[in-house]
Amino acid sequence: MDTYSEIVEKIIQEQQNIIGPLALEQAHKVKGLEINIEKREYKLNGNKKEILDNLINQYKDIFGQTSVEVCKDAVGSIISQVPAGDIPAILQ
Amino acid sequence: MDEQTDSGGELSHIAEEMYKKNLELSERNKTLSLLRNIDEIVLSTVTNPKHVAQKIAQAIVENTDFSLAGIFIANERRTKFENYALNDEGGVIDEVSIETLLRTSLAKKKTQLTKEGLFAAPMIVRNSPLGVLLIGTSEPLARISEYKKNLMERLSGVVGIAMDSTLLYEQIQQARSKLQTANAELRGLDKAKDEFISLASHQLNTPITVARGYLDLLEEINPTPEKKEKYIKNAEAALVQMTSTVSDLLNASRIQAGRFFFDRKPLDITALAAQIVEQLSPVAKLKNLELTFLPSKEKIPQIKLDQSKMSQVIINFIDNALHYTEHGSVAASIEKINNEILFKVKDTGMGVPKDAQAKLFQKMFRAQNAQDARPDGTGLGLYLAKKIIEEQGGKIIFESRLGKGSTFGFSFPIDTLPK
Repeated sequence: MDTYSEIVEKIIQEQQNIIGPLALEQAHKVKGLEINIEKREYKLNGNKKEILDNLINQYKDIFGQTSVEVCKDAVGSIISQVPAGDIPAILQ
Repeated sequence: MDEQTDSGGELSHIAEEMYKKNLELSERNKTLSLLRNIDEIVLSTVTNPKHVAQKIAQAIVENTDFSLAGIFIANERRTKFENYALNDEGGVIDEVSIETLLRTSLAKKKTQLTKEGLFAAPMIVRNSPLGVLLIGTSEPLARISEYKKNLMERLSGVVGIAMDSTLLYEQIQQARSKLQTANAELRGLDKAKDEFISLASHQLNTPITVARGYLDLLEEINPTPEKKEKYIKNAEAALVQMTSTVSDLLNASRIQAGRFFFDRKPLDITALAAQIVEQLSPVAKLKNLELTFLPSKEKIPQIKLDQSKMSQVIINFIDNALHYTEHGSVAASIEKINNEILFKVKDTGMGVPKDAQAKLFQKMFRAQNAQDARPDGTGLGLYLAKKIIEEQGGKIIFESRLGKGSTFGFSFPIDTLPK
């Protein structure tokens, strides 16, 4: 699993801990993001930075800034593996 | 339109508030789960403090986002820390370099934070600093949530109590074990004391009874002069034996109390042995045994030894040999081999059974065949002989074959020579 897929997985899992099935439901709405939970497949078709940014904003639009902080928390340990220029501004 | 916007805004606000509540609940659940985990570890059958610490450190890393967990226990003066557990799969820290961090945390009783993302939280239990809980995170410091900071503080309290309980339990177990050992020793000593008193009473009672018996005979019957002489001699012999028994018992008691002293002066063992052989010759003659003494061809130099006690040893060896030999001979000898002087008494007597040989020089031990042949023995003679020889720097010599005979003796190094 590449780093971006790992980041997406961590964000969704962390959101699931808080809002349950709603987390996956909202993630499915993100354009360019294909999810197969059973197979643990998270495909980002297109600009990965943009797709990631959209995912986080999907949660932010409904649940506010707190949900953004949760996303940052979730990926804190692996975000350093992504080049700084490829990290969405919302995660910085 | 405005109403819709208002409703939308209100719903959004409600959603946000619910999210926050859910987040709080989720964090509390995680904390509770981890604390329950730690509780289970402490209550489990694992009692070794280091094992408990390792399990706790592992639980912290597995159940949180922390990349490192370490438990360090301070010594009594709080100058050094022992690493009880360090779960640092990333190999982040160097133990030597964290020493200062740990010491500062404990001295200030306050959590310390480094730019490398290390939290050192002091574990204070019963108002006393026990050690430090070290936690590491790879998150940028500015991003660490309040929840995580609170969790670290809380963990130091819980882990501190857990380690304190485990360490106390270990101390109790050690104290209990020492107490059991001491009790067993005391019971052993008590038993030995009872046996000793019983033996002493019996050994003293017998000759007293014999002496009284013969003295009563002198009073009740009008004996002939020859019989009178015999009764007196027998009574005297019984009293001499009693004196010897008392002497043995006293010496054994002195050894026990650490009051067995030696008056060491240059001693000619050859001359002493020859004299004792001469003294015991009548005993050998009575039993038709050949008693000989073979001195060394080479001159044996004098050795610094206690004459009275060495005399006791040589008499014991030769007297025993004569007593336990029915046919044949008892041969005493002295020689110098390499840097040692060897004295031996070899007999053709009953020998010592193999299973009794290892215990022969123990206090009050007597082989069964010896007990049968000489019921009045104290079982102290050989014990005392060994003590006398070894306390003066020598070694006991012993070998035996059942039915063939025994050799008893001693050796001293030439270093024992007077300067």
